Amino acid sequence: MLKKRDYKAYIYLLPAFFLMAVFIMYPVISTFITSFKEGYRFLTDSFVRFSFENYTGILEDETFHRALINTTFIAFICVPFSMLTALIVALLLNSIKKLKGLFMTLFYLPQVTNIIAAGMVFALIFNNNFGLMNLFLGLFGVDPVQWISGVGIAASGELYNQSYMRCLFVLFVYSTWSGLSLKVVLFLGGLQNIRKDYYQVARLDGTSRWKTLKRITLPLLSPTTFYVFITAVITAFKAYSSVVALFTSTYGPAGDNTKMMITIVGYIIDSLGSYLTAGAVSTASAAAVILMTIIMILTALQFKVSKRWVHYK
Amino acid sequence: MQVVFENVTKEFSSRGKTVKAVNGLSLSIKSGTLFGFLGPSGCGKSTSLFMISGIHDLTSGHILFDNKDVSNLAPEKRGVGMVFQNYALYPHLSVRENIEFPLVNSTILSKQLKRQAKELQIKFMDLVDSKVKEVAKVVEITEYLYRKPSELSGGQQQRVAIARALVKEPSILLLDEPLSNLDARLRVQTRDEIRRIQRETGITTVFVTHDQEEALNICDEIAILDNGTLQQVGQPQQVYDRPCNIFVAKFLGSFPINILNSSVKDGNVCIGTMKVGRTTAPDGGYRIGIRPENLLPDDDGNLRLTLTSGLRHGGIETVEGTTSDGQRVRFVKNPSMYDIRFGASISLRCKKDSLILFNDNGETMDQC
Amino acid sequence: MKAKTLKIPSYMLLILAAFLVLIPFAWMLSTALKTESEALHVPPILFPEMPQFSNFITALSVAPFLNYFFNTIVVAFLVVVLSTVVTVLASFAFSWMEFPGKDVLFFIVLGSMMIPQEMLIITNFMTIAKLGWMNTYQALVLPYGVNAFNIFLLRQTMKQIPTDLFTASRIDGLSFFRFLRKVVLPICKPTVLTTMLLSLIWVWNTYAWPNLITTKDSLRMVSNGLSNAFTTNSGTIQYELQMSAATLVTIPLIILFVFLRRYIFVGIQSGGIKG
Repeated sequence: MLKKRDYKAYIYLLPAFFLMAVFIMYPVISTFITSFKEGYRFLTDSFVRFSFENYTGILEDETFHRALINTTFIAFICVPFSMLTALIVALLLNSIKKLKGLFMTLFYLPQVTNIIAAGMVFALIFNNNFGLMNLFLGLFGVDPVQWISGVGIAASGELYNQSYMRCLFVLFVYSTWSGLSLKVVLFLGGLQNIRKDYYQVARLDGTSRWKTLKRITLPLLSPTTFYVFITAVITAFKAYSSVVALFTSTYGPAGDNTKMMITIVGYIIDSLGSYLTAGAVSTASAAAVILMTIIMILTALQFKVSKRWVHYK
Repeated sequence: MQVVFENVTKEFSSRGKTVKAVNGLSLSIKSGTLFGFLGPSGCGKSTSLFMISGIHDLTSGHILFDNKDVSNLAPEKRGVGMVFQNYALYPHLSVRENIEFPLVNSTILSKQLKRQAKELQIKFMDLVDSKVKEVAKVVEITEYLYRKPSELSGGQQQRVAIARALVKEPSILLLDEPLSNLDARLRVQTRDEIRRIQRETGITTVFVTHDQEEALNICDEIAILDNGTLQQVGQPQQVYDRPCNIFVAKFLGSFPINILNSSVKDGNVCIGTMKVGRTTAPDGGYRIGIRPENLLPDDDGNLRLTLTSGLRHGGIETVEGTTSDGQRVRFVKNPSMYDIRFGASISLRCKKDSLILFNDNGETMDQC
Repeated sequence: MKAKTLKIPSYMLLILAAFLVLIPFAWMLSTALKTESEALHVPPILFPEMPQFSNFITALSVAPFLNYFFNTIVVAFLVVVLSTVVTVLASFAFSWMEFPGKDVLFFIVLGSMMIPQEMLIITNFMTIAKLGWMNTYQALVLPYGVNAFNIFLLRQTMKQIPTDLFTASRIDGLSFFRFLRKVVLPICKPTVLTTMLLSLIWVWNTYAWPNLITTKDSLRMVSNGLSNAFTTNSGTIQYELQMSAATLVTIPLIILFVFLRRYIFVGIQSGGIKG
């Protein structure tokens, strides 16, 4: 009965595939092709010729370098720290009985918080004059730090680097805060899937808590850990609205004109924003293709790992 | 190592409700024997085992190892090795690493062994290695030492779990339903293995099962529990032949025991009008129990049945018939019973001392 | 069984961690309730002397926030309805129907799961512009109409329904559609609710795409509205109003989450959430 051909299925699939075709498949192909169109003009849909110009242009663009560095910072420095924090929280949560639900709800709140709102709050917390952070530091006798200000800073030099470091720190704190939610839930899920009798045997043999963690828990948790890492890195590469919320749409402290904290996606959006200029859209396309390649590789990895993760249950 | 339970009770509470998993259990397990806890699911047998190991604490009562009260002693200090129902072999470690795990990672044991190695002037890991190889030989898994648990069959994994428990040279070995995950053929093989290993090492072994055939087959002594309460304890054959209550009588036996309504008048036990035995019990109505294999054909026998159906159990056939007052009786077909036609009559008698009389509480009053 | 000695430090550490996580919320709320001078006080004060609930009202007039809320709710509703219908139909086809090319088509769905939103923005932007659909609801809704991950997730759930139910329905003479409506959907309700909830949260918090295609204030949604209303690089920002607005934007989702968190947690653990 199930094996006959149900041509009706095509009707069922029509809405989904129509939307996918227009808004997913067509864009992918179009963007890919556009990325090779040199000097593309959006209004007239004309271009000079097919070449790699857009790509080389990006790779030479200092702003893109900055975007790449910032994005990599989020992906490979913020993420591991965030993972470590989340793991500790998850381990703690796993060891308590009561109030687990309450804590989980609390820790998950950042994830359902509007990113713009959250970014604004953090910007305020790190405000020079009215910020909580400086108030806190003041308790230890530390002078107020100029986190996200820096009026009239030059495009390079010591003051600039100092300001940059501080902004990175702000981003770091924000990333950890917002990234905690999902990771804690995933780690907790992974921990809860480890069979209780493994711990019972270890307990019976008198294995110390530290050894149990090192030799049993962490190895058995490794599929989850890997999955969390990949997922977090993918999210990191897509970072955009958080940076806008923290540092405004100029991606930097007031007075900065170098787009200090721009990310790859920010670069794409900005290029797209000046779509009337020749070559703007094609530049955006090229950047998007680069980003997509990175993310697709990571997502393929994620899919493979998630299969193994589920299997481990 | 002798294990004694003194009025042990274990309660579990969750969401305000308290459940007594084990209620006032008192028994003693002789050193060097293979002891079985037997009973249906939820009767408290696994809980009792976990209390011996120290994983569960006692709500009240005491557990003594060789007259020393261990009720509050931490598990790792009790010298107990345990084999879990699902083996609990670490999937990411090889068989060898699994077995040596307690030796290398237990705070107390590894210290002891390191001292021992120093005295013997050999390296710690060499000492560990020799112990692992020794125990692997006993359970016969030496050829699989470098494989991962997932590459082994159920029976092999079992033996690795046993090896891991034994490598600590425990004074007590505990097994939680060791055979329930194995297929029927492997079960018989493995239970003989357990018997063999126990005899070879002489370790006091306690195991838990719901399969009465298993327990009857290999244990030196068994304890039957129901709902947390001890029903009977003793040697398998004794408990089988002389159950102390209806529960034990029904629980043991490959074929279900016949429980019939009877009346006693003047010392005669009668089913309907048929006199099947004599007893010293006072007059009245009683339930009686008689095992299918204890009903023998006898032309002069008083138990007359009209045959209704038959069942094959492999090489043995049981036949069912009804009495004149409509009760169903099942008996084992004897080779001499050649005239089995449904609707025909047959006369049986009860083997001496095999008829069990139960009072209203289900306790055994008399056997005749 | 676990040693009791670790319990108290665990709780304390967790309380500390939870406290740190909640600080931004507390600061947001506290600032929202300050007077202007309290908000701009140097050094900053922790709690307002008297909570200025009027700030919320004032904030709503700085920018047409009610408009933003309205737009967001409308768009969210449309997206949820559209994507649920699309997802349910597609998932059902993939799980219970047999047709030529089924594997290929599903592979395409899987493939599109891997493509990041950010890449599609460019062409979609041009498409919308060329259609003259800037500043319209359809531009906000349609690109979100199909979500490959939801199709994947729902298909998994649908596949778990025992075949016997289908056979029984066939014997009773039900058409595919009836089977979907009367048998499959009721059973899959939790998963469908999860995907609806996730879509809702996504729409509420989204920024990039609406920012590109809505230039008129009347069509903006909460994220863009919030960002637009208070981001000035020159002049002082009225923080108490900014935080009031931020609070108003944040609270609805938090309330929703608290009541429906079960669905979200289940959604994550059945294979992750799109980042």
